Amino acid sequence: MLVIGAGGAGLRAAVEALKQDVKVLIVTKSLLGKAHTVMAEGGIAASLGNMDKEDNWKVHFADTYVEGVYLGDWRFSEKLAKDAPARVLELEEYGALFDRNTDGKILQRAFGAHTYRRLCHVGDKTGLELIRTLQDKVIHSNASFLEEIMITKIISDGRKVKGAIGLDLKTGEFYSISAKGIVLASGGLGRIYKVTSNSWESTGDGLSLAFEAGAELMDLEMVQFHPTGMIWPPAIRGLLVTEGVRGDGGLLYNTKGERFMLRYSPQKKELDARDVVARSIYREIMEGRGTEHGGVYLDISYKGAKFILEKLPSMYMQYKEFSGVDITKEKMEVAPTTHYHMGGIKVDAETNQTVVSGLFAAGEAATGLHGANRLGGNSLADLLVFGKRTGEEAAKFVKNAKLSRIDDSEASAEVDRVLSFLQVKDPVNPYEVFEKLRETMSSNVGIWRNEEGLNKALAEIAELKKLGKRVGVSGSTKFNPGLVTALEVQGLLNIAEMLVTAARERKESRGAHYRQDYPDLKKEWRKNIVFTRKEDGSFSMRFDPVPELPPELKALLSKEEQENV
Amino acid sequence: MMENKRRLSFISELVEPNWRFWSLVVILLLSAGALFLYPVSEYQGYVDPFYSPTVLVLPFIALFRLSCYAYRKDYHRHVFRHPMACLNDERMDSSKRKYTGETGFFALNNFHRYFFYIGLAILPFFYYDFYTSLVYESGFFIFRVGSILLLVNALLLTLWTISCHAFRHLIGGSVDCYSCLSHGSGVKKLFNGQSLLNRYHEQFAFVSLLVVVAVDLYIRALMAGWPVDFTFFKIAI
Amino acid sequence: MSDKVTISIKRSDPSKGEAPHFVDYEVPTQEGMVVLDAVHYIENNIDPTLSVRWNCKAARCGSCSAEVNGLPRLMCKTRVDKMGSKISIEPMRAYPVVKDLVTNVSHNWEIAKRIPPFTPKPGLPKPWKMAAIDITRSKEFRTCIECFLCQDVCHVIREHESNYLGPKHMVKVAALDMHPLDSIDRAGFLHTDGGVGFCNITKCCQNVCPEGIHITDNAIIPEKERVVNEFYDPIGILLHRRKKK
Repeated sequence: MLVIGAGGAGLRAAVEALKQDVKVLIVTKSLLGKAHTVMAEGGIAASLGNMDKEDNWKVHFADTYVEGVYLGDWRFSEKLAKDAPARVLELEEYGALFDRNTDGKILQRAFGAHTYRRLCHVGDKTGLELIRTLQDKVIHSNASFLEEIMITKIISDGRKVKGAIGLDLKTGEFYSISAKGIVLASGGLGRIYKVTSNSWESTGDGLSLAFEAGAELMDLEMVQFHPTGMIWPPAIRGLLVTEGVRGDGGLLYNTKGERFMLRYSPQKKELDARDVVARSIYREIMEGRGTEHGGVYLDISYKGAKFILEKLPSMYMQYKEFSGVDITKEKMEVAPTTHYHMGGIKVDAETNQTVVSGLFAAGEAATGLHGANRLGGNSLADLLVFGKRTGEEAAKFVKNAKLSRIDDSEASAEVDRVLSFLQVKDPVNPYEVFEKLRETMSSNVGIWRNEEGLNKALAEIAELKKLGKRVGVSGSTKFNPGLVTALEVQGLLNIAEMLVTAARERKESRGAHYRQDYPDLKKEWRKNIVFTRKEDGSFSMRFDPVPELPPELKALLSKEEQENV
Repeated sequence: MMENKRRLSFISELVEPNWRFWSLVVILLLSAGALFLYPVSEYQGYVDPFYSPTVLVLPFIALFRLSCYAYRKDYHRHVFRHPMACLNDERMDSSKRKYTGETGFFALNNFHRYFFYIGLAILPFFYYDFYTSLVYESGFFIFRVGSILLLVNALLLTLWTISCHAFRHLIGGSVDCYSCLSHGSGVKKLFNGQSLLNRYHEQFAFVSLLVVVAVDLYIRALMAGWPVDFTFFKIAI
Repeated sequence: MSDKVTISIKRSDPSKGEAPHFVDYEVPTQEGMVVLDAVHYIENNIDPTLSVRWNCKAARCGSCSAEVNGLPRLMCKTRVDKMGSKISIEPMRAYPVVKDLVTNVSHNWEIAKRIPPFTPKPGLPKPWKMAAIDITRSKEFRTCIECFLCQDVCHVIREHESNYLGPKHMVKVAALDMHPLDSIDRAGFLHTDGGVGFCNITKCCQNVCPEGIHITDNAIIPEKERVVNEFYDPIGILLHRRKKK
């Protein structure tokens, strides 16, 4: 079994498969333990009810489903809500050390749009602890792992996977990896935007790998903008300011000193869902009540230095080091930043398998759980719950599958494709194409979207695709960042085209997708936009209705909410 | 390339306060010489700290100092040059010299806690010396500059002793589950408090030794007839 | 602040037999710029073959370790305006160079594999309970981002051959040992296979930790004292044997 990606989902899947005595190989584009999961700060959402006894999986389900604006698949959200507590306790038994409450149980903090205090956390470094714990499990197991391998192609016959071809960045050599089953846990595509909290790897590789192999992509237009990212100095623009700041009492102000969230969301205030808070902040800035750097103020200083240093040490460090701001005394300047991709690879709700037999996906790369908006803390819960399920299902699959080896001709064709980037005459700089793509995505497909901007973006992407054909770099295959970017850009241009197409198609506003020209939620648009690859490599689009809620789950929603489904 | 190396050595000098260690060595050699050639045990009620309670304990105190984590750092770096400084392996030859760390002879440093016990036992004598300096003229209570010096000396030695890493282990550092103990939260508080002092252990080690030498010099100055002492008040009791 | 800075990067490609040499680049500066931004500028505009390892650019992942002006630093956390008008960047010297600023740090996984993993006490009632006061010491070590700068600066790792784990792994051992529900005692491992005796507590590691972990004072020395307890201190040995019974 091949696991692509060593983030939370990939490692959790590996750990589970190892329990079933399956031979596991983990490959990662960066080093083990560096995955984007380490950036997750706030916590893992699980209805343990340690702080609020009233909490249970039903409330967690309803929160997740409703805040996903009825676009998610209930089968995922039900599993998430039911399994999360067991997964958290299991992680603790693997060695993770969560913050404690006075009863000695796991401390849970409040978070945006969660009805109860639900996020199990380790200060503001929960993701780091999650990764370290799973990483340790893998190191002390007999799993093999290969670091700094970029998978450039998944080989399949369109119905069944055979394996993958990877480039070893350290040596510049290629690997041909034949596998009975593949778990794609390659994360999101935040770097397609200019201002993002995402790290180097988040270039949507998994999405294009899966698409090229024959899998379907869904909900691509649903990109989450985190309400609070750093904005000054420019070099660190986009860096995440954890929702934990607001969870622990942080308040938002505009330059007039007005606590504007009282106006936009009188009930949930700063702790409304991310799409609501992000849009509110964006509106304040667009309407001229923002700071000179284009942000609003976030204030936690009134809580006192001791509280802040204990609860939010990384935030303190981050502002101190990069901006020279002491958040125990001063306000932070924040603005929305690209954070998460709700869309991704369409998988079966029971097995997490794609339409390609033997190809599984989990974590941010997969889709269906979060709908149109993800709740904070649900991503780490997603990694654990569906990482485990996928590992289990993939292992089961692998045990009954036959290995079909990758043909030499298939392997050498892919090697030639990669090498061709080194032989382009009069090449276009891949960074230039990448930067232009990010530029157009940020200015046209951001928080506020409209027909005109989206059309413009599509036209520009078409131009860039032409330019992309001439991309080339000098040097060798060995640790050549230019070559890596060239490969990433090829996939990203395709994904971007589908993403923008879906955004133009969806003529309504739902969750993270906000259309200035169609500002209302429309019931008839309660359907998922799915992309399939055609023979010639282009895509076709179809609209799938969202699976109907069974009555017992529907009963968990309020009267008002039920009318939307 | 050259410029880079120069900058590197400059940084190393800044990072490693070499001068601090060697000046200390010079001072100690001078006072050892003075101690041997011109012994002074007591003058006008001031007991020389080198003699408290008796010069015979000095070897043990020396071992306490020598096995202290702060001094170990200093002599491993500056005497044995492992490393000379944190960053400069290409300037120095330490990779070519045999290195056993604290596995060979220096494994003896592991007995630090026993020297700590001796150090702790001697501490009260310094306070006693302070007390005797106050009442050395029978029938009077007398408060002079020298007494303040003796008190400062006693306090600094106390701070250095109780900020010791071995002590830290003994009063709670070895515990993994505080709440499993009957007075666990008290132990944790004690440990946390000691940890605050422990952070300044190196500084206490350095300053306390300087003050011992300074008090010794002060008493010698008095003997030489220097008019440095001052009496704040003297009352009959 | 001047509007240009010279970045001098030590480049090499050992597999091609290319010897290490410094190459100077002129980079325009921007407010709040960090050293990694300057490297990215070179990569994007001057030479796209310049190899550098980075991920989060937020001092969270610990990928971009290098020696900036001779000091082991995270490039993403080192402000250009604080390093002078000419900045030298070299790869970590304790590890073999892969290419340019990228080093091979995989040896650390072999070391990590040697450390006895977390082993909870048997028969604990579930869900586990732990008091807040019992987790603070271990928690400090869990902020380690595995940048390996402490390993890089440790002279035992850098200049000598020994079985010593190195500071980063001592932090890991301490994190496991001080977990209130862990049942393994790792002092025996440290005394023998862990080579803790080779550490001569010169504290270079503690000085370079970007997370501000008190590596020497809170991890290594307490572990050394535990070794003393079990292998040197006669009273400690007696008490320890009794406890075991």
